[in-house]
This record gives sequence, C-alpha cells and structure tokens, in this order.
Amino acid sequence: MSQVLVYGETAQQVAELAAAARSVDADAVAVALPGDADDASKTGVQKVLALEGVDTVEQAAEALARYALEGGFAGLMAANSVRGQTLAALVAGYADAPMDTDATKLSAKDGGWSIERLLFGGAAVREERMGGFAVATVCPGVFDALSENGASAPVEALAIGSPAGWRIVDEKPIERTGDDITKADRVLGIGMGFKSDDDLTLARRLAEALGAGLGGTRGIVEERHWLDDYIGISGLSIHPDLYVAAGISGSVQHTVGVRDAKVVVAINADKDAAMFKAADYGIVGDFREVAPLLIDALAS
Amino acid sequence: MSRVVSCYKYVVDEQDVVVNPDSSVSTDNASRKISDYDRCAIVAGSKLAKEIGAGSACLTFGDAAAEKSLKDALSRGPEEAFAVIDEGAAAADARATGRVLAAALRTMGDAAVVVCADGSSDVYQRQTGARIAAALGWGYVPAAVSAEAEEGGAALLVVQKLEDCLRTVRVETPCVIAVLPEFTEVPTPGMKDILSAKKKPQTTWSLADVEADASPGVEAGALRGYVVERKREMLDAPSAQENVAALVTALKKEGVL
Repeated sequence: MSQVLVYGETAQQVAELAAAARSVDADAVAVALPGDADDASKTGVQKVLALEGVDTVEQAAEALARYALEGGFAGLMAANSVRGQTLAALVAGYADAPMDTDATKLSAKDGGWSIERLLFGGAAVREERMGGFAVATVCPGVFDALSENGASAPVEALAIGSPAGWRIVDEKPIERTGDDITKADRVLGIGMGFKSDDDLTLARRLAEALGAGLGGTRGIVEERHWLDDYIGISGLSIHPDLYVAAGISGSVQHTVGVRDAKVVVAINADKDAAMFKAADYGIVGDFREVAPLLIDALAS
Repeated sequence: MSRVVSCYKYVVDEQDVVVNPDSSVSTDNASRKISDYDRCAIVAGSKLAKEIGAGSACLTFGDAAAEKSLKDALSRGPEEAFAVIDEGAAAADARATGRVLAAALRTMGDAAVVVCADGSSDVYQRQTGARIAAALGWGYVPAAVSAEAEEGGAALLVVQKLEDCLRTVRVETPCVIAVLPEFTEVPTPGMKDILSAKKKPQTTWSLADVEADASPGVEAGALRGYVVERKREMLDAPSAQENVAALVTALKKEGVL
C-alpha cells in the first residue's frame, strides 16, 4: 500500500483524512505536534510523526516535503483550516506538486487522484485530476471517520532541522461570544436587510423563540460587526435541521454554506430574492412584520 | 530601493456566470475584473510600501485581456505595473501561476515584501502566495489581518486570524504575506487616482522573458452548475398572519419544529 501524509486540527479531522487516504488505497501517516500525537494515534492512521523543533506544523513544510518525496509517498492530504491549508500549499510548493483545495469529493482515478471542488463563489462544480505526488485539502465531513479507529498507532519523533524563518511572538485565543452555529440544530441567519440595533434585537428575539443559534452573512460580520463568523463559501458551513434566512438576498457565496441544511426557510421583502430559489419555504414580506408574528405563533 | 509587490488576478466576474437549465455553465458573456480580494492586496501593498519607505508595484499573470487591468490596478496605489502575458494563463493552475510569478519577481529582483490575497474570487485555491514563497525560499504568512514593519524593515510583525486564535508572527524580509479582506478598506479610485494611473509605467513580459514554464499539473474536467434541490414552496396567502401559521404547520410536519 502506498502512503499519504495527513494533517488535521482535531482527532476527528485526522480520522476523516485516514479514511480519505484509504479511499485512494493508501495508509495515512499523520503529522502532529508532540502534544497532539497521542490523540492522532487513535484515529486509524498507520503511524504518527511527532514534529520536534517547531511551534506549529506549517514551519515543518519544507522538511515534510523532502520526507514525503524521499519516502515515496503518494502525497499529502490536510484539513482546509488555516494551518492545514498553509502546510499543504507550502508542501506543494516545495515539492513542485499539483494541488487542489477544499475537495468536496476525492477518489482514486487512473493512477492518480480525482477531486471535486466548487468554483465561482459556489455557482459551479468541477472535477479535477492530479497524477504523481499530489496534495489536497479536504472539507470537513466529506469522509466518515474510519470505523476501526481506537487501536493506537505508533508515534515516531521527527526532528525538524531548519524550520521556516518565522516565529510565533504571541497567540490570543479568540473569544467567541455568539452561538456555535456549526453544532446547532436550528439557525437563524440574518442579512443586510437588517440595518439597525432594533433590527438586531428583533433577530435575537426570533432566534430565541425558534431555539436557534444566530448566524449571518458576510456583510453582517464585516460591515455591521454584529457577529464573529459568517456563513458562506469562505466562512462557515453549517448543517442544521432548520435554517431560517431573514433579510438575506441569497447569493451563491452564502447559500453554499447552508447546502446541507435539512429544511431552509426564506423571509425577504423582495419577491425576486435569489434566496427563495435556495429555500424549501418562502414568505415574501418585511421581517419587521413577519418576525413578531412568528415569535407569537411559536409561543402559542 | 526595495519594493513591495502586490500580486493580483484578472478574473471572470462570478456574478456573470450563467448556469443553464441542463446544468452546463457558460462564462462566454462574463465580464472580467480584478479579483475583489486582490484589490485589498493592492491597496495593502501600497500602504505598506509607504510605511516602510519602499517603492510599490503590482504584478499579474494573465492572457492578453489582462493588459486592460493594469490601469485599474495602478489607480489603486502602486507606482508601477508588471504583467506576464500568455494565452496559456487561462488554463494555468496554481502551480503554474506560482512558478510564473516567482520567475517575474526574480526578474524584478528587488521585492522586499510580496502581498497576495488569500485566494482569488474565481477558483479560490489559496495556494499562490505559498507557491511563490516556496519557489523563492522566503517566509510565508497567510490569513493576515494586519502587518507592521520593524525598525529598518528587516522584519514584519503580522497578525494572523486562525480559527481559534489571533496569532502574531515575526517574519524576516523578504517574505510573502497573504491578506484577508479585513486587512484594509478598499476605497473606490477617484478621478485623480485614475488620471495619475495613466502616467505610471507598465511593463509586460512573455513567459520566455521571465524564463517560466506555465504548464498546469492539474487536469480540469467540465464545469457543472451547482444545483441546490429545494422545494421552493411560496407561502402567499393574503395576510402575513396566515403565511406564518402555514409555515409553522409545515415545519412541524417536517419534524424540524
């Protein structure tokens, strides 16, 4: 069996990548910082390389590219997080290898890898193929974790001789004050139709009445500064049972983030809003009128 | 004098992409633009150049149509524009683009900082900056929300936004950084900016001029429209009250309320 280097931020991601490697007939060798090696070893991977001499995995990219090429690896697969994406793109650069990002499908084809990914802000999908030593980052949830995880794989130390010429000076955890909508069963999404603080208060009341987490579009985060993360192509992908989109026009960049929601509801004053095409149920109306009625209906 | 060089891509405007009823995709009538995220990289690069007392430039790899973008790019701050022009640019993957831009930067010879966006608005591969850094043997810091130079410009202190933390990194120059949209505001160029852009120098190169190979490593298949299958049931009774009641009933029936 061939081998693939894998990197995930969490044990769950590593387990999914172990399955991804298996799908291209390869064993996964995980790379991790020493503190994460034990968790990584219980995910169905063949082996864990505990990287010594670096503060973060991206600093080991050049050494890992050399290790993988000299070891005859088929390539590297990583989570599409900042660290994973950075590590993968640098390894691809040092190995002068082809790479595809944010794979929504991945399989073996014609001796290489076939992946699918979204283009044009989520409007289109394309299949792409890579041969030889290849690199890919994979979206979370594309693969189910290998079911035989649990047995521990061996952990081997790998000293990184000359890590990248940059160093971490400070790290401040991000305090997330809002709801973790990636785990919520119901989410209320608000868009730029919401303009005032009163509108935001109404949104919070509706979210509470729905038992939903509150999420929003890119504009709500970057222009209104009401929330920390936005739902959309370069933001969060959420998988609730119910997604209510209020005051959201429905650009593909946003709707791609909720494609896995079980039921989608759109409320918008503009009858031509694209959001209605991406919804199961739609009400044309001003949310300032609809939301209070919905809050009352849910209370009774 | 050293320079801060901002890289950008002249992309198909994704708003103009047409998905046909049979799911085929057409970009034939799409207009082109400087990728939205790259406009931020151009403005960020020009600002950083002023802060460290360096020159500023923009650089792109594109087909012949990309020459039209140079004036737009120059109206956003850089002092000079460079372009590597080749019809193969349309089929180039990130590996090819990275090789070409790195070769162009070697030809320029005086870049102290290269500023890219994290990814382009058409394919959003988020690789180019890393590829350039690996090819040139420079440090690479993506997901940047701010950057300031240490005294003398020997290093940058860059704040990165990761999923779980804000991380400050010290990277020696020359280096490559990739900026997030929140790095800087992108003002619309005014008449003065547009007029002065016309006077700024533009240099175009062929692949041979910069000694680069642009053959792609990724083989692309056909584009398909991304189709979301939804019921699209409009609740359009005369009153909002009735619609809300119908919605609650439907959602309870779906088992989500």
